[in-house]
Amino acid sequence: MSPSKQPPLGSWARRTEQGLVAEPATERELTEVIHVLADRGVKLHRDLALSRARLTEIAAIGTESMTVRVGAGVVLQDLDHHLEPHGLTIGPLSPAAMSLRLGEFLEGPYAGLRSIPGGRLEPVCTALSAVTSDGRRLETSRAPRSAAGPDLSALVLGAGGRLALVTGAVLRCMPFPERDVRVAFSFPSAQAFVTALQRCVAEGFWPWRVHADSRSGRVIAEVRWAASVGSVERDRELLSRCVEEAGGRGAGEAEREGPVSVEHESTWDAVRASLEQGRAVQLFRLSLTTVVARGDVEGVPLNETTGWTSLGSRLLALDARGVFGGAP
Amino acid sequence: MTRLPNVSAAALPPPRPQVLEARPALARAVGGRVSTDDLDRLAYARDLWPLALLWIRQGKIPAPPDAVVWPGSDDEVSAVIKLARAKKLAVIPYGAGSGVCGGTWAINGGVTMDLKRFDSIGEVDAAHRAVEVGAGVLGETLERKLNSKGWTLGHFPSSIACSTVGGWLAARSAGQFSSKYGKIEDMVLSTRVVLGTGERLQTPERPFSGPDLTPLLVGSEGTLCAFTGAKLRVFPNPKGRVFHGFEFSSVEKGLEAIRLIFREGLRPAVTRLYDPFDTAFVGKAGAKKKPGVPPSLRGLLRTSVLPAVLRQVTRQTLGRPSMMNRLQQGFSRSRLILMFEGDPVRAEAEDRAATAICRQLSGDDLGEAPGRAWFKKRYDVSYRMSRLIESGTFADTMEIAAPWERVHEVYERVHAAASQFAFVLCHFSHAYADGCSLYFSFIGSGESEEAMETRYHQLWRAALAAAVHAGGNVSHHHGVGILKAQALQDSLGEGRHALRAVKSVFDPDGVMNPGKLGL
Repeated sequence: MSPSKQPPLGSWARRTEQGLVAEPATERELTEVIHVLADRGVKLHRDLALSRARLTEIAAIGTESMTVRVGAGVVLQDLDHHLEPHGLTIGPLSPAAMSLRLGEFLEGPYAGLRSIPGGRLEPVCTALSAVTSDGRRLETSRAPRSAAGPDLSALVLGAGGRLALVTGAVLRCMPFPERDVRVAFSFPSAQAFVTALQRCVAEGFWPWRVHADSRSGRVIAEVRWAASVGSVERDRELLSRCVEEAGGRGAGEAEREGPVSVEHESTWDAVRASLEQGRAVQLFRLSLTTVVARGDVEGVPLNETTGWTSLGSRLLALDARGVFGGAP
Repeated sequence: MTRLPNVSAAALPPPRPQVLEARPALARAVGGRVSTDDLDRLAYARDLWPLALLWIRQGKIPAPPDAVVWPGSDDEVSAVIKLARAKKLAVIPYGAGSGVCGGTWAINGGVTMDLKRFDSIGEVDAAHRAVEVGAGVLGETLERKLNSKGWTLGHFPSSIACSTVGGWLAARSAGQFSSKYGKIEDMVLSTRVVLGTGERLQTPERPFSGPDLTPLLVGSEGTLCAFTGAKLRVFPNPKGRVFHGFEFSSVEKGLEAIRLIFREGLRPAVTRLYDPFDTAFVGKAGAKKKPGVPPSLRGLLRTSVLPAVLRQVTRQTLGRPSMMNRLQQGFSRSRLILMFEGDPVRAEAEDRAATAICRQLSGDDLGEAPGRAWFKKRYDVSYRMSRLIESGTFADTMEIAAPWERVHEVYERVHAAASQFAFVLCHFSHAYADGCSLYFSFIGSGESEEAMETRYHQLWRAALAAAVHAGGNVSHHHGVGILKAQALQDSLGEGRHALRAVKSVFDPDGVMNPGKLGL
């Protein structure tokens, strides 16, 4: 960066060993940062890093809708601790996702997605607020679902902060579970394992984590889920029946220590292929579409931003002032 | 019923010269399937927005397109859009015309592009529970085909017989079983589109890196692209179905029951809570009819006597909505219909859990009859509205959504705002863990057709403003079109600039369905 492009070090910016970091404490300061950088031709992500670690507000909890408004700098694990006394939890996200700040979770490769009963993926946020490169505020509706035009949260989710910078969001929570259950099953094949899990998920079963391992030609899986007492028992019945219909049966203890590796977003085909090759996998965020997988599984790595699709890249034109640094 | 007046095609304005000039090129683009005939232009001049019916009653016609084209391939759609860009013509994508917000009105003329020739239905990919379909496939056709192979889409809008997959995507449609299967945006795995630039694209399936553009295109109502196909999630045909009705002492208790059902993790396919006055109507729906009128008199009554009486009664009563709405205060009980479907054991278990919740809230158990009665007539409502309008009144519906903390206040404020102008009913459906949809029905009248139209617009402005002010949104599943364009722009605040920026990327010349969504 040329000296003339050195941004001023206001209260929101500091020098670190990695270079300059802008660290605004409010949405207004973030807007100011964007305007200053635009005026000086400095690009975020390239010339200057952005931290939203100071946007840590956790506003009042909506106990009826089980929602909470949270600043982009809040670490999800910390939020979960905050929610527990209120009888709520953010729900079953993967371990690596829970270690992220909200802004990283929404803008990064996780795209703020979680699974819900019925096997669908949906953003964990019901609404979000963000600032676009022209310094304008983008705030989406808190309605649970909408047909009011395109969903503009797509400019934030998974977009790496290249189209808009999220400052906060209203997150959907769930009741803190009354019971946490782990049950092990044995399947005759990887395909049987996949069939049973997919059927359960489609019927409303919502597993938090599945550890699966290939042993002597069979797949041994430990399924963990948590919910109310009644829900756990309904799920247990469904799961047992789906396992049986797929040719599986109950098993003793499964391997507790699953593989710890980079998390990938993977298809069920990739999971099956991995198990057929005798590998162990740990699955989170199980949906009918994809899962978050640990282990040697093919998929999109979730610890780094990779190249966008050509269609996605087209949207970089929205950053007309070039503040957000262009393609990742 | 009163017959609507005949509308003469001769009353249409002639096609604009620049469209007539472009007609040969349009014909080449779509293999000759182009028309500038008045009858075709008249047929595509409107959708099912009730305002059009009010206009037709007055002999007025919405502005027609200058031409209609029927492309049959993505290349042909692309060619039409590229030609429109070159000639500065509007392009209005058109499915089956079942929209109720004016989303396909050619307000500035242009070329209406009927996409019903995109009618392919692929084989179900059972391993991945997915099917590829053309955007022009009618909902009922698709569902019947899937059912015959053991599958269902789970998408049952009341317009299923007269709406297309492309229309569902364009307007973010919801079906009656959305609480289990989701809205159309929850079912779509990828879409095939032609952008306003004329480029053909297929959105990727997960997993992929970067932003997901499908949510930007779904709900864009033809302002960014034309949908030509989609890959959709399918489910096995349900093997079990359980109905259950309850009646609560108040609408608040009924809402609380739904909220707790979803909080418990239960996912009924159908949740419908009727407000007290709607409950009074619904309650009569299952009652046995008294001995009928002799057949010889039925025809006379239906065609002459009853309509005349109805017109007088409705004008007298609905012209004084405050009086009618005050009558509602005498009702308090609220009826809930639940339906669980899918795995039969699971459906029974979820029904038992929901029953326990309803009983805790002192809900009277009505058994399965109300649910079965609703299920049998679940598509009838759309056809009743036309009869009301033919009887000389105006009728419309407004569907919005709100988080649970705001639902009752939205209900009361919208009810109060709309009650000044029309008789108001409401039911609550399409529930989620964090909120639900409110579906208002309005029936009103006026001293004259002009007064009625004025009242109609006043009602919508007041109702939408009240909804947004109380914490609701402007649409849950009907879309925006022209009707809610201003309300959408107002509710977006500064976000409207982001929407315009997206428009400029995907439709740089602004040819795609101008005027809709406020774009």
